[in-house]
Amino acid sequence: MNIQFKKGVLELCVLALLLGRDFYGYELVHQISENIDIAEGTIYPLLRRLTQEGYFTTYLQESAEGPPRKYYKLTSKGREYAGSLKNEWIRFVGGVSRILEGEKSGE
Amino acid sequence: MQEFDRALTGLSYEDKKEILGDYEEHFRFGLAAGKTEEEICEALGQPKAIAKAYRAETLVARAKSDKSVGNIVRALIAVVSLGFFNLVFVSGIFFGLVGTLIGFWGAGIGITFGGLAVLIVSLIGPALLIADMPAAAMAGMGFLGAGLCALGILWGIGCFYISKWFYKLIVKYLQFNIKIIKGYRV
Repeated sequence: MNIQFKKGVLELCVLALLLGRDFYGYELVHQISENIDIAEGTIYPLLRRLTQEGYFTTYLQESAEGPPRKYYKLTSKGREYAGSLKNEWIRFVGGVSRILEGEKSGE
Repeated sequence: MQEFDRALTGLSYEDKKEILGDYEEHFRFGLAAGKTEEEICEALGQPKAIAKAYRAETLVARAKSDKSVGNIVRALIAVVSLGFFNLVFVSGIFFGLVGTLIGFWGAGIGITFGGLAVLIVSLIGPALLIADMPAAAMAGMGFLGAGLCALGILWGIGCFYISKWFYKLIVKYLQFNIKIIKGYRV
C-alpha cells in the first residue's frame, strides 16, 4: 500500500485506540502492526509529535513484571481532535465506497 | 541502535535521549515477549528511515511555530531590500566585471592568434614570396610570433583562473543571499 496513505491513516489509528483506553508504547505499536502492515519504527515518531502538539500526555507506571511502562493518555484537546478525525474518516470512507460501488454498477 | 543514534544527528541531546529511550523500551518488551533482536529490528524498519521521520516531524513543528506575522514580514523585507541592493549595486559591479573578463578573454585570443599569424608568415612567407626580408629578420619575426603566441596562451590560462574564481565568488554571494533570507525565517 502507498506509504503516504498509510501514514495519514496511522495517526487516526493511534488516536482511535487511545479513545478506548491508555496504552503503553509497545502495546500500541503491537496493536497496530497486528492489523496493518507497517514498519513499527514509524509509529514512535508519530507518538512523539502528537505528544508535543499537546494531544497526549505520558506517564510512567510500574508493572508487576519487567520495567516501568510509558503510557500515553489523550488530553481533552486530543480527545476532541480524535473524535472529529474519526467522524471525518467515517464520512470520507462512506463517500469513497459510494463512488467505488457507483463505478461498479456503472460498468 | 548505534546506527540509529548516528542517523539522529541534528536533534538536540534531550530529544535524542528520549527517542532512544522509547526504542530501548520497545526492545525490552519485545525480548520479554520472546522475540529475537533480529525480529524486532526487522519489524521496526530501516533506522535511517525512522530517523528521517523524526527530523521531518521536528522541521514541521518548527515551521509551524515560526509562522508568526512578524517573521513573515521580516523575511519579506529581507527579500525586497536584498533585491533592491542586488539590482542597484551588485548588478552594476557584476556586469562591469563580466565586461572586463570578456575583454581579457578577447585580448588573450587576439594576442595568441596575432602571434600565430606572425609565426606562420615568418615560416612560409619566403616560400610564398609575400615577405622579402633578410633571413635574420625572418628569424627574429619567427621568435616574436612564437613569443606572442606563448604570451597569449599564458594570458588565456590566467583568464581561465580569474573566471573560475569569479564564478566561485558569484556562487558564494548567492549562497549568502539565501542565508540572509532563510535566517529571517528560522
